[in-house]
Amino acid sequence: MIKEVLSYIKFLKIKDYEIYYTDYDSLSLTINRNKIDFVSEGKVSGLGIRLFIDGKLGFSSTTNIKNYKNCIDTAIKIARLSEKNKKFKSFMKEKGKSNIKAFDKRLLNFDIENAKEYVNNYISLIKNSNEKINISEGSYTKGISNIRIINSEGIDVNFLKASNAADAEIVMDNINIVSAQHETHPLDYKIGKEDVKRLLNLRNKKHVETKDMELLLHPEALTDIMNNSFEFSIDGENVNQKKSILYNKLNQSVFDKKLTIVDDGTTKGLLNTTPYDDEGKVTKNNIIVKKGILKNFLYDSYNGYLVGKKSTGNCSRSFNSMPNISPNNIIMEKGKSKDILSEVKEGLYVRSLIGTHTMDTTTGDFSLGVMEGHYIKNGEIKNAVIDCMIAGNFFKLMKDIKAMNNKLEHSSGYYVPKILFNKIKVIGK
Amino acid sequence: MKEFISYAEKKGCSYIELKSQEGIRNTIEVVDKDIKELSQNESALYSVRVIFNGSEGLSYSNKNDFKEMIEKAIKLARIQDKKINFYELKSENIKLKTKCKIDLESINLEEKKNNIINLLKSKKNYKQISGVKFIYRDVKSKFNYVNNEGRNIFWEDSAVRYIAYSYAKEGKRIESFIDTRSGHKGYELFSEESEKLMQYVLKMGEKMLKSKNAQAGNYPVMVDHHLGGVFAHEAVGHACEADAVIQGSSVLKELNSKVGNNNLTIVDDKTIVGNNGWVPYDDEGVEGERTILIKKGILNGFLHNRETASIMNMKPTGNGRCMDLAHRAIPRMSTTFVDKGDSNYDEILSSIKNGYYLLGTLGGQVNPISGEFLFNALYGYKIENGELKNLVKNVGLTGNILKTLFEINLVGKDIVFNGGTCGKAGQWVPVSDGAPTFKIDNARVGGSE
Repeated sequence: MIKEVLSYIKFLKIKDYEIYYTDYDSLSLTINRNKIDFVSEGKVSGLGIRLFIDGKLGFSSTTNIKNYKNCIDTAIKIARLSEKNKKFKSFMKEKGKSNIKAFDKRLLNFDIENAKEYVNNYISLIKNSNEKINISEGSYTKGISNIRIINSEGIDVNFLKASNAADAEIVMDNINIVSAQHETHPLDYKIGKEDVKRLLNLRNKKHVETKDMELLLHPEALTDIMNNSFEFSIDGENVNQKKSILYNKLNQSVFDKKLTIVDDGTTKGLLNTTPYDDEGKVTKNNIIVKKGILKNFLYDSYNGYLVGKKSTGNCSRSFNSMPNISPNNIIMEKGKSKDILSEVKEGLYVRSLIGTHTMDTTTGDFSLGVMEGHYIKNGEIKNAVIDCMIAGNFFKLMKDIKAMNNKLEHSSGYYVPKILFNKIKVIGK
Repeated sequence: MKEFISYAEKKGCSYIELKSQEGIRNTIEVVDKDIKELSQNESALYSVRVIFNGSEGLSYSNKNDFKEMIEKAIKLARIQDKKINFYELKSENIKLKTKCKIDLESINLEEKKNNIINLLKSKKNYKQISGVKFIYRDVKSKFNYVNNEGRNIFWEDSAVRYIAYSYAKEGKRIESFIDTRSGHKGYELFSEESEKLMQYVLKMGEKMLKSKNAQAGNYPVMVDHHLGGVFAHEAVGHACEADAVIQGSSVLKELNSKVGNNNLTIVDDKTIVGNNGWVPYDDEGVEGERTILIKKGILNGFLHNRETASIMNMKPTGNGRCMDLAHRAIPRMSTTFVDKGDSNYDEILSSIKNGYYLLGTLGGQVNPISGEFLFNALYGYKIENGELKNLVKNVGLTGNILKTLFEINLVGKDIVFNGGTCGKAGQWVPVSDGAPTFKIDNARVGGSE
C-alpha cells in the first residue's frame, strides 16, 4: 500500500511530503453488575498525508485506503488554498535508528478468550473478598497500532504501539471507588486486592472544617492535576506563543528544590515508552526541572525549529490529526520520606478528585471536588471525608513542598511519589 | 445491505443490525495570524451487531466487508455468556436531512479560512490581548442503519463546531477566556454568531486580568444559563441514565418519588432540531422523544437504550447513543435543561445578601453513587445586598444531588441552550444543555482566598 502511495507522490513530483499510515486492531469487554456485559472487536486502517508545496502546508487523511489518490489530491488542493508559512522549514529530518524496546510481544497473542478470563478472574477476586461489594461497571480494552511513517527527508520507520487498559467502578452501599490500570504488559490482579481495601477505608465518611491544612496527594490525584496544568506549561508551542506561565522562566527556579522532573521516552516497561515519536524521531530523556530549576520545554520538529532547537521526541498524533506536543513518561525523582503519613500534622490525603478537566490550564488555578480523601491528624488517618473541596494553584503548590515519599508509583504514564504540600484551602462545613 | 441481513439470518442470528457512517470533516485552526491547521479528512466506518443464541456481539471495520464482520460478530456472541433482552421495534423507512440555511459545501474552504483570519483581526482593538486561537470544524456525513426488524434509516447530516480562545497579559499575569458554538446546522452557525462570540471572548479575556479569586465557603448562588445547564446535565441527567439506575449506581432510584423543589422541572429533549444534542433517531434506530426527568420536584423518567428499557419494562426514549460505530450505544443525554419557572433575574439577584453570581463553565463531573457533583464557572461576581460587585474567577461549586435539588426555589424564565460534549465510558458524544437564571439557596463555593 505504502509503495503505491509513494509512487503516486513521486509521479506528481511532490518534493516535501510525510506519510503516516496505521493499522489498528482492538478488542474490548465491558462489565455490568459483576458480569461481562458486552464484547466487541474491530480493525481500522488510516492514511494521513502532509504536503509542503510552494511554501504552503496541506493535510488530508482517509480510512478509505483504496482511495489514497483522492487523499493525496485533496492534500494538494488544501496546500494550494492555504497561506504561505514562512516559518516552516521541512518535515522531520533528524534521522536515527532506535534500539528502544517498547512493545511487549505477549500482547499480540492476548485474544478475546484471554481477556474474558482476565476479566472474570478480576470479578471473582472482588466478589470473593466481600459479598456486599459489587463491580457496577468496568471495561477492558486492548489495542495495537502498527505505525509507518515516511517522509521526504529520509525518515522511514515502522513500529508497534499498544494500549492495554482496565477500569472498574467498585461499589458498596453508597460508597464507591474507580480503579484504573494502564500498562504495556499483560495486567495482573494485584490491583484488585488493593481496590477492596480502598473501598472499605471509605466507610464512615465525615465532614471536615473549612480551613487551611496540609495536603498529601496520591500519585493518581497529582497526575490528574499535572495533566491539566503542568503539561500545558511545558508544551513548546504554548511557550513559543507565550501562553505558558513558564514561557520566560528557563533556568530560573520555578518549583521547590526537592523537585526533579524528567520526560522519558526510552525506558523499557514504562507506559509511553516508544522507539520513535509520531514524526519518526528517536525518543530520548529530557530533563524538564532539575532541583526546582526549569531546564527544558518539550518540542516537536516545527516548534523546536522555530526557536533554533531540535525536537525532543514528543510529537504525538494519529493518522487523522496534526502533530501535537505530548510528554512521553513523566518521571519525578523520589523523595526521602519512608513514612510520609507520619509527617502530616493536620491535613487531607487525597487519592482521587472530580472535575480536574475543569482546571484553568493557563494559570494552574483549581477548585475541585474530593472523591476519595481522608482526614489526617498527627500522622494518623482519622476518617474519610464527605462533601469536601480543595482550592489552590498548581504552580504555587509546587513551590511549597514539605516532603516526598521515597517510592514512585505509576498513574497513566506518570511515575511520581506521594507528595506532602504545606498548605491547601479545604472547603467543608 | 439487505443481502447481508439474510446472510446473517441463515447463519442463525436472531437479530442483525448493520450500520455505515461516511463523512468529510474540514478543520481550520488559526493562531494569531498563522494557520496551524487546514485539513480535510475523509472517514468511513461500518459495523455489525448480532444476537446469536441469545448473546450479543459487535464488530467493526473501515472496510465494508459485511460478511467478514458478521462472522466475527457471531464469534464474539459465542464467547459471551450473557443473554440479552431488548425492546423490539416496528418496521419503518425513514429518510432525514439536516436543514441548513447555508450549505457547508456552498462555501469553499478558502473562503471559510479567510473569514476566520478576518475575524481574528479585531484582536488589535484589545491592547491587553496577547494571543488568540480559533478552531473551526465542519462535518458532512451520511448514516445508514438497517436491521432485520425492517427498520431502515438514512440521515444526511451537517454539523458545525467552533471554539474561540483569548489570552490576556499584564505584567506577570496571564489569563485566558474561551467560548464555543456547536450544532447540527449549516455555515449559518458561523456567519450569524462568530463575530459576537469573538468580541465577547476578547472583551472577557481582558476583564479577567482584573478578577480576584473567590472566597471559599457556603453561600447562596445565582447561576446563568450556561452553568445552570451544566447543573441539569451533571447533577440530574447522569443520575437519570437507566444503566446507572440498573447498576445501582445512581442516587435517583424510585420513579414518582419527591427528589426536589416544587419549582424544579428538568427535561431531556431529543427533538430540538439543530441543537448539538438533537437526536431525531438514536444509534439503535429509536425515535428521539421529549423525556421529563423531574416534574415539579417529582422523579418522572429515565433515559433508555433498548436494553435498559426492556430490563425496566419501559419504552426506549431514543437515548441509545454511541461515539462512533466502533462503540456500543448506551444511555446518553441529548438536550438537558432546567425548564423555565416564574421568577426573573432582578427578583433573584435582589434576594441575595451575600453570595455569588456565577457564569459560563469550564465543565463539571458527578459521582452518581454518592450524589456528589462539581462544576466550575468561567467567572462570576460577588453579590452584596442584591448588587453585583467585583469580578471573580476560579470558582468551583459542589453539592449533593439529593440535597441541592430541594434548594432551588427561584427559577427564571430566560432559557438559553448551549452546545457541548459529554464523556462517559470512554465515549464522547455531542450534547446540549440549558437553563434559565436560577438560584441555589446554599452551595459550597470553592475559591483560594
